[in-house]
Amino acid sequence: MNNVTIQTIIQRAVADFGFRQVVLYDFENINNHIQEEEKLDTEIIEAIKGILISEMQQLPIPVEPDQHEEISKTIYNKLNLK
Amino acid sequence: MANKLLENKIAVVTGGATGIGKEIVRELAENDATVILADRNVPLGEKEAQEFQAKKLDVTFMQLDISKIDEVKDFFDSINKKYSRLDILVNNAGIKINAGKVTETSEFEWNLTLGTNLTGTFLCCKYGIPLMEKDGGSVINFSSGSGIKGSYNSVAYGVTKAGIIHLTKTASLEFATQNIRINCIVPGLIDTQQSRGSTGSKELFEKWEKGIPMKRAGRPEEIAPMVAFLCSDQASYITGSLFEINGGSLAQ
Repeated sequence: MNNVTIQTIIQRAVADFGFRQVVLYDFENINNHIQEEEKLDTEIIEAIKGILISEMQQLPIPVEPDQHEEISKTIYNKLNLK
Repeated sequence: MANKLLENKIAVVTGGATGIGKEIVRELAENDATVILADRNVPLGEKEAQEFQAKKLDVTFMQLDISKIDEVKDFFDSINKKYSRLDILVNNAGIKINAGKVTETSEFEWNLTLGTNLTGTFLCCKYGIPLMEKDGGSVINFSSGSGIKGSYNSVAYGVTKAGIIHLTKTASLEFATQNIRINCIVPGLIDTQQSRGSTGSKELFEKWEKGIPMKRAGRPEEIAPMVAFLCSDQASYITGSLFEINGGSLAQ
């Protein structure tokens, strides 16, 4: 499965605190965006939401640039999307 | 001891759970206003309101996402039912997304930013100002230095902040004779979680600070007293005005 949109959302939310706030407190918009691009099942989206929000809440503010890639990859892997 | 500038005033502060908004909630409440702390972050909003209450300040939390029209309508309906009026509206809530250059900004990020910052502020004015029409009131909108001069990587944010200046000026004309004063704060770099997070690195934040004539970021408590003053009767002849608070940044 090609999850470019989800990967992009994670990268943006890790790098940018403003975007992270949208993931944390306005997931409806993020959900609509993912659905438009990737057509995932509701159950998968719900699972993604739970993991994403939990991970985002634990990130430092800001995440320093040299950590963006590693942290983004770690979060994406936790979603366990195949 | 704080001067009691705002006795018997009913105030709403959007984005009141963190940063500048939280400090404004404190300042208005310490000046004896009854403050509704409005925020979309429910756990944090409730926690902050409880902490204010523990200090005997009259602060109540209400959930509000300013980008959702039905929520905004319901919110001001509730204020009207409970208080029958609104004296002070501080439109502080907003987001900043660093989306890259104009050509790199996605429609998704553009719409998110405009929907929250500009449409959200508009909606709060649209549904909040009618509650002031009987007795007058004060609206404080929040712009930014980015709304006056260009800045890199956040065109949508700058456009919303420029739009908020126009919204302020137009609304101030429309309601001047009804004693509803509408002004705009234009903060520069303020040391909050939001601005440190948006800057993206400690090093860059410090670099930006060095570019400010006063060589430091402002603090939320250097914004809040101006808001309290503008909302008070001492500012009775001030409307349609911008107040730059930025350590001299826009003087350069």
